[in-house]
Amino acid sequence: MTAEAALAERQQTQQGAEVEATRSRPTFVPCTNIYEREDAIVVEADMPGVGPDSVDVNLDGDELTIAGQVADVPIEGHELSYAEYEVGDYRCKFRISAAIDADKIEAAMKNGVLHVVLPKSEEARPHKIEVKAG
Amino acid sequence: MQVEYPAINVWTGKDDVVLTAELPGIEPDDLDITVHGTMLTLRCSPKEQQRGDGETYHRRECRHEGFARSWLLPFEVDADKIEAKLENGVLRLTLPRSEASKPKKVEIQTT
Repeated sequence: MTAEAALAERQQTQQGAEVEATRSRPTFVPCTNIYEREDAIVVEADMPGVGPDSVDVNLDGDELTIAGQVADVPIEGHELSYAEYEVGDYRCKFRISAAIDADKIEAAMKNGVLHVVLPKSEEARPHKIEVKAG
Repeated sequence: MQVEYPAINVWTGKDDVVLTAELPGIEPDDLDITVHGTMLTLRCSPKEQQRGDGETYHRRECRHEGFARSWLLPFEVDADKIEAKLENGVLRLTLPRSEASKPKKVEIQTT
């Protein structure tokens, strides 16, 4: 292993564009999968190092904010000798296009992946219209 | 330069090295860690992703697929004492240096 390494490419949140964090470590935009089902929109975000207690999911109007804080515990008696990735918090915002039933949003954190299910409100669900034969 | 997946950080201590890697979405059972001599290999078998009908992706950035990556360690490790912890999607692998590979201090004889 050599001492020089390229850091894994990661999108950092823009400084100054938003409210700045009080902590000086970097904040990253997590990799996300977003898919739409007939009854819901599902957001999956990779946030390794974030525990279930330190994640925050917020829906304000049509704006979904996800924030996670990493518990970065230094390894005692050890020195970082080679680094390919940086440790930081996560934050991202999405505009959700469909009308969402805010009371029924479910969020779960497992193995560093956040899973948010945003159920569509009754009006936004597709309604099948029966065609009568006549 | 593209970093191979998974990206790792290495922490060096007096008698061991600690390797950390971000592996979101991976279950401990899916991960295979082997040490052969000074060769360390991390392997994860690809998982079939079940997606139902009527699901359409808006964006797809996460990769929860299989990988295999090997490293040459700077010394032989005591394979029985390796500790591996996977917590919140972060792997922490403690690799203690084997007794045989530790440097020996040579006493100088005085006559």
